[in-house]
Amino acid sequence: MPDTSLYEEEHYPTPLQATWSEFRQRHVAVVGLGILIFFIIMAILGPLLTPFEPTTQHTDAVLIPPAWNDNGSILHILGTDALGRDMLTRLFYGTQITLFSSIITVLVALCFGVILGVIAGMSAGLRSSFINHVLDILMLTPTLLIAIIIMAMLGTGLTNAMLAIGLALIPRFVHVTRDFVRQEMSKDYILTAKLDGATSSALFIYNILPNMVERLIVQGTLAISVAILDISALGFLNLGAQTLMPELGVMIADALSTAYIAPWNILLPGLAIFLMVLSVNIVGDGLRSAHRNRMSH
Amino acid sequence: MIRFHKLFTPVIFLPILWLSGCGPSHDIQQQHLSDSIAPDGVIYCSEGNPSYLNPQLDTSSTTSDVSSHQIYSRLLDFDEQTGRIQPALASSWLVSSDGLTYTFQLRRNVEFHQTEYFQPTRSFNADDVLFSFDRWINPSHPYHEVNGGSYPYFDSLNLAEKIQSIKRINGYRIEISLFERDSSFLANLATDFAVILSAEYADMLAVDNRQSQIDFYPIGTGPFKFDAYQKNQFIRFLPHLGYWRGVPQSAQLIYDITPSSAIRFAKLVTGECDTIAYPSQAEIDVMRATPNIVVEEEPGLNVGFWAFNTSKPPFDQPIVRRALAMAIDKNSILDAIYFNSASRARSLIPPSSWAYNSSIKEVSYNPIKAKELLNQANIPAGFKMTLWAMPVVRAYNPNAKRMAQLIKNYLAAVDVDVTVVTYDWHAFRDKLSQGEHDSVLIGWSADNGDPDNFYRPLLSCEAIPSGTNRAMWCNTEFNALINAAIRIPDVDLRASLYAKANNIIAHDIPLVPIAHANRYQVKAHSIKGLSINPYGSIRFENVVKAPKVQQIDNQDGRP
Amino acid sequence: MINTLFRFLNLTFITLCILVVLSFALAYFFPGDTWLNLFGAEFIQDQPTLMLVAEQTNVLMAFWYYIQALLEGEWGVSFATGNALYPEIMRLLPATLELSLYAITIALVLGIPLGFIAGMQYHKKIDNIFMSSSMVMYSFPVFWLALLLILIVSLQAQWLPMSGRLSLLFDIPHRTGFILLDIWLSDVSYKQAALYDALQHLILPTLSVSFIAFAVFLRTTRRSVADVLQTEYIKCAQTRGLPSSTIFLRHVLRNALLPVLPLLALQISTLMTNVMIVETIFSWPGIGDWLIQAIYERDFPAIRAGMLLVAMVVVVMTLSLECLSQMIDPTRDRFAYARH
Repeated sequence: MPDTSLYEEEHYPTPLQATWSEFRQRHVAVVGLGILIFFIIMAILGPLLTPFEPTTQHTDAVLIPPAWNDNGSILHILGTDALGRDMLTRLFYGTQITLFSSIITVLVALCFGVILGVIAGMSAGLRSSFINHVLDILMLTPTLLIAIIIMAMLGTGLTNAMLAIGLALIPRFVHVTRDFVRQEMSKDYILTAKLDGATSSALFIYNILPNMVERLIVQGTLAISVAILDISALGFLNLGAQTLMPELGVMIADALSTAYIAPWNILLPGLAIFLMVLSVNIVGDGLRSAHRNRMSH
Repeated sequence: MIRFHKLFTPVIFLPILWLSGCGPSHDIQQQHLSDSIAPDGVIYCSEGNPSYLNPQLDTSSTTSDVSSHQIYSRLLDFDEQTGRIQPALASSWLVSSDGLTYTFQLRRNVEFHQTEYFQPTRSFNADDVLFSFDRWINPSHPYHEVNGGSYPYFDSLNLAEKIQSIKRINGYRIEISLFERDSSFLANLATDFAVILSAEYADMLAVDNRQSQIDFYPIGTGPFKFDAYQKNQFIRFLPHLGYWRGVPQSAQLIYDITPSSAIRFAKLVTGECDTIAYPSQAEIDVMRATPNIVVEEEPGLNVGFWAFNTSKPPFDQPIVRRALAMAIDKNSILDAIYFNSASRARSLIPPSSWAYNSSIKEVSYNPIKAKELLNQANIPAGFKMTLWAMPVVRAYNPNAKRMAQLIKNYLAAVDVDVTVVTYDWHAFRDKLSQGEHDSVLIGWSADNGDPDNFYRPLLSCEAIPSGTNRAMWCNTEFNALINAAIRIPDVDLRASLYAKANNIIAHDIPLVPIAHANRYQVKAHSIKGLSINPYGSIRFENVVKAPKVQQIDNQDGRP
Repeated sequence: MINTLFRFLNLTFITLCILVVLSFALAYFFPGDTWLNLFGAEFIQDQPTLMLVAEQTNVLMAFWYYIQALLEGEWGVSFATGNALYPEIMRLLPATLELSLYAITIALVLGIPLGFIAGMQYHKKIDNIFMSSSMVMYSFPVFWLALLLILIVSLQAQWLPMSGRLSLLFDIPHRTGFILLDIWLSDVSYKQAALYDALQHLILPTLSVSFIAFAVFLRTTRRSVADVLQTEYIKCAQTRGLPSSTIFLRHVLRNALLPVLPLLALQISTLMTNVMIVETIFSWPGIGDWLIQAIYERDFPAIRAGMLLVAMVVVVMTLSLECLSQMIDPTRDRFAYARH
């Protein structure tokens, strides 16, 4: 196609902009992003808008079905649970807790993972081999097992669950970083920078990191979906968030005792988790495809 | 692009063919048609693990439900309908005129269980009765200390001190002498706990130095003999072919141990259990509406209460206890926890007992007055206390944890900060008997129709060491009243004494009675012969299951 | 070949050593008395030298005794039940292995062929259908999926049972621990009914676990196939005019399967987590359910022993798959985890 721009300069999109335009072309991915943004907004604004508190027990309004059911009431649009707590409110707070704790966990894991990956990638020999072994074991151990060990040492609770899952997520970031660093170290532009006299850290921060950001975003997004699933699973098993918190997994576990009479108490929180994970997966998949497409053009 | 539709077919069908080879082949079906009939039996979803397979050692209804009426028989039994005492292993009895001597004539030709670990050489006789009683009466009996040496039910009633002697008159006659008259003695012999063990088995174990086995691989004269027990999984019983009341009609009896009441209900719906223990009150209405499930209801001889540890300050001050009692609204607790399947308890004794008097003044919900009283007693705002909630389901309290949450909310309104504590059932009761609690949500189901069975184990001074007096409360006036009442056979006189005792409890508030629950029995339509036993634990000896044919040829083998 | 085998054995041995050290170290990190944690009271009393050493708290000696105990089969005593741990774990492990095995098999048998189809029809309609459905499938939280299956299949429709491995009316003696094998080997009169019943109990748990694993395997295979189809040598074979079946069978099949193996090996740990969660929901008497009960009861020796065993099993399974793929394709870069 002939260049018909009026100006002398040509516009070269930055890698991120290129990825974003690729991403935009896939409609599914955009829809997924829309759903994800909806959840994020719900998590931030929802708790401010709800008329009830998540822990208030309305003892006169116990086990009310959602409003579209015959026995439902418009006061509690999504019904109440066995202690009379409003379901919609709890869903908002629950989304907040689950989503934000997952994001925080992934961010922390990402930071540690990148640092470790850089050390592993830039070094060689026994130290890197040792780190590799430990990381491999960490990656091969089932997440639940790591969580159980941390719980046994430190006790249960949401923060300990986040710690455990963060530990389990670190290896994948280490791998991305280390592979990428190794790969880039042998390339010419790094050599040029070295010849210019750049120190290792400067090398990393100014040369390698910008190229890596995209991959990290892709990995991070996928890690968020894993973190959401794991945190809610640990909440469900009462190993993570405990019974008083309106965390989505905990809500499902609480609803088990009235499962036959009030199945919406299981369906709704589970649906929230499912949709959150689905949207994150769609976005992550879209980002990955976009990145791959950009690289192959 | 490669056209691959030629490859589509094998790639798709290969795995399907492979999987289809997994079914039983036609010839096998022809040959082993008898292989396809499933074994028969009754499955009962129970709520927990028994601590022992012998109810002498434990007052927990989990243990009694498993062993008492299944493995063992007693000298006497309660008639389920009338509550009257009936002969069991004792075919007849005489009471002397001074009420101090009881003579029992024992039934002949009663056989003990034959199992892999024990073959009896003789039938039941007086030696077995002597052994079973001496074990808990006589501290120097060789079997007294086996598996703990504590017999909570008998200890709480001080029964061992009350019995002067047990004599063997001949092979089928026993004479028991008491120190003082006791109108509830026969009733105590008919409770779940007064079971008869096999002396021959005990001797055999003693020779091999394996005495503790007597409570884990039990031998008795009951309708079912023990086959297998896997903790947290199941207990299997087989019918006792020589049972003196006639062989039970179930081919097997299985206890499927399922701690969660929701899962028990679910298993009843799917048919994996034929009858369940402790159905959740919330689900009773749903159960009534479910086809193929039968719900039976009866008012229960039980009480759920909130006991304060009166040995720990500040709970030793009656004013503090009264304040805390005023801070909670019993009616809303009743609605939220019992779902209207219980009646509000105004005293320890339920209305169905003859010792109940309706003129009891109970504490009403008054949080403002409660705060006043707390201030009067110099309890600071933000005072911390623990509330122990039992982890198991009982008729008198189907969900102690939830009730604890509700009470915590109420007490927060009067500036008391409650921490809810719970452990697994065994550890929970151990710690309670050590007195580690500030207050506890627990209750009591009567073992017999006698009101003494409520007062003595729960609030008498002697019951503190045996652990059943959760309030750790010892009031000499109260104790004297119940001791006096036990000696009088006249029901009206006893009732007036118990009325005074009720007033003392209402005034001193060592515990806050919350509810008397109805007892329910939920079972599948095909189960017959199972009824609610208000005076004890569950009895399976007459249970019959309507036959259902299960063959592989039928697509769904469930009725 | 011998080289890779040797390297694999070396790696497995080192990994097992690290796991044992970790398990030993945890005895210090877990609350409670270290020595009781490690050995249980009875073992200590049996070894008078151990009592002396215990007072001097020499870590290396403790470690040496610990290894001895492990090899003897003395894995400690449970706090909750007081029973020896090793026999209990060994009794429960086959149940978990059975469930994992069936789930992996179904996921592989369905996932790989369908992944091939999706890959061959890259970006066409069938591929898009597979992609969207598999994405939906692996976004399901496994515990929610299991509960939905119970609600719909067991409670509403009453087609399948919802707990246990076998109806308790069947008394099958425990021989291998694998329920189908045990029924086959036993000499009870109701063998066929028992098999039918066991299969009924197997369906829902296996379905819950394999649902998610199948979706992952499908996507992985499809990505690998798509990558292979883009390569030069396939295009070259096409231009040469080879029939599609030859191209598929000789080139695409093997080259696409190779990178899939190690990626699938990575899924084993996720699968294990899912199996453990599903075990608690379906009351499946396996290691996962037992471990989770142990953490509820704070039974530290049990947690350590269970953790050691599960980690060992997972590590051995994964590393053998690694070794296998290494032997088949020595040119593969071992650290290609990040590339999906």
